[in-house]
Amino acid sequence: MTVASWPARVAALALLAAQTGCINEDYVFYVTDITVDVDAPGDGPITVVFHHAWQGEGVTGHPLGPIEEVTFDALPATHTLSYPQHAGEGLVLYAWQDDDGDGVLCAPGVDDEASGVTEVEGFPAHQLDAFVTLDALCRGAEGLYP
Amino acid sequence: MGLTLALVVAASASSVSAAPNPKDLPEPPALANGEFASFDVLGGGSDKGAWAVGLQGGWPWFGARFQVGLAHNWTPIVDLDTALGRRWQPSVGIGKRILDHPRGRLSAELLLGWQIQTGDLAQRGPSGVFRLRLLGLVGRVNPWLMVGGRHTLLFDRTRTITADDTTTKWSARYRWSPHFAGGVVIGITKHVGIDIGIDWHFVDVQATAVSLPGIHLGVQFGGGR
Repeated sequence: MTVASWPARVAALALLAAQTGCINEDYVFYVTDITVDVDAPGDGPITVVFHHAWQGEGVTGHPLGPIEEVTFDALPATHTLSYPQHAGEGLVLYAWQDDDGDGVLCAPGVDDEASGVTEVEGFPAHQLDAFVTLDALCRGAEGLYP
Repeated sequence: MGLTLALVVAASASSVSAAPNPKDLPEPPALANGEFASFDVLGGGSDKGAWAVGLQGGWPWFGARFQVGLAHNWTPIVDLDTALGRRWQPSVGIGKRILDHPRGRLSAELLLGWQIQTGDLAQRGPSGVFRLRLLGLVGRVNPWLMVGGRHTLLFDRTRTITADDTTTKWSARYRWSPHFAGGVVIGITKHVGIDIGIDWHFVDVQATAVSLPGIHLGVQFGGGR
């Protein structure tokens, strides 16, 4: 049996005190390189929104919750995502194609821009591939998932 | 007859309005020299060897306080405040009467401790409080006022997990919560007293904001004299 020296004991006690008595917000970011590809009917830029699959607990829990939005001119492409593990669980990828280049999904008179969603399998991992089929028209993420 | 009456009235009036000689003032009832435990708690600072305990309850603040006098009115203090059991503020520090007059006293207190707030807006961190206490001495029922501010550090941890390693960074947020309290304290005996007062704490939710005022009833006791 090894008896720790008193400096080690003090350090361990200080660490324990710091972890139990000092920490307020405890942020954890899991960095992953995710290669995104889509099956899209048009040829406009693709906007991808990374979501948690679930956020919150109890009565305040809900599906989805945006993490980051990125627009790609060409796919497939790899993006480095700092996933906030402290804020939710699971990873969902929502994408839509901006055919008319106005920066918004559909609009009065524009009802044919495609969107789609997928839950990324294999997460968490530091290297991921995600593929989305844009087979819905003018649908937001909340209308497609779960 | 009328003239005589007017002179008598004028003479009486002049004798009433004449400023009294301070030496002729009656001695305050042994208050300023710290003989009442309740006045030590609300006014701050105890004489050497005197000790006092204060307990208060109300909405939303409850509190307990112990103090004991050392030489030159230096007064160690142990203090615990809680807001409905959601926020706890244990502190240890020192106080001193910095102005001692037969009609009042002013004292300063500096305490260091910890803040623990539970619930959805949990906060934990070291805190310090500075207070000024003012007590008027007019009899057994005396007004008191306290002005203070609590400074708190809240530490956050950010861990970033990459394929190669995990890095940890610490950051700190600062909170400042001024507070005011005031009321009257009644010295029932030298050893026992009560007070009633209002408490008005500001809250710091990324900006210092006004909160609802509270009210409390306190009891004090002590000895060592």
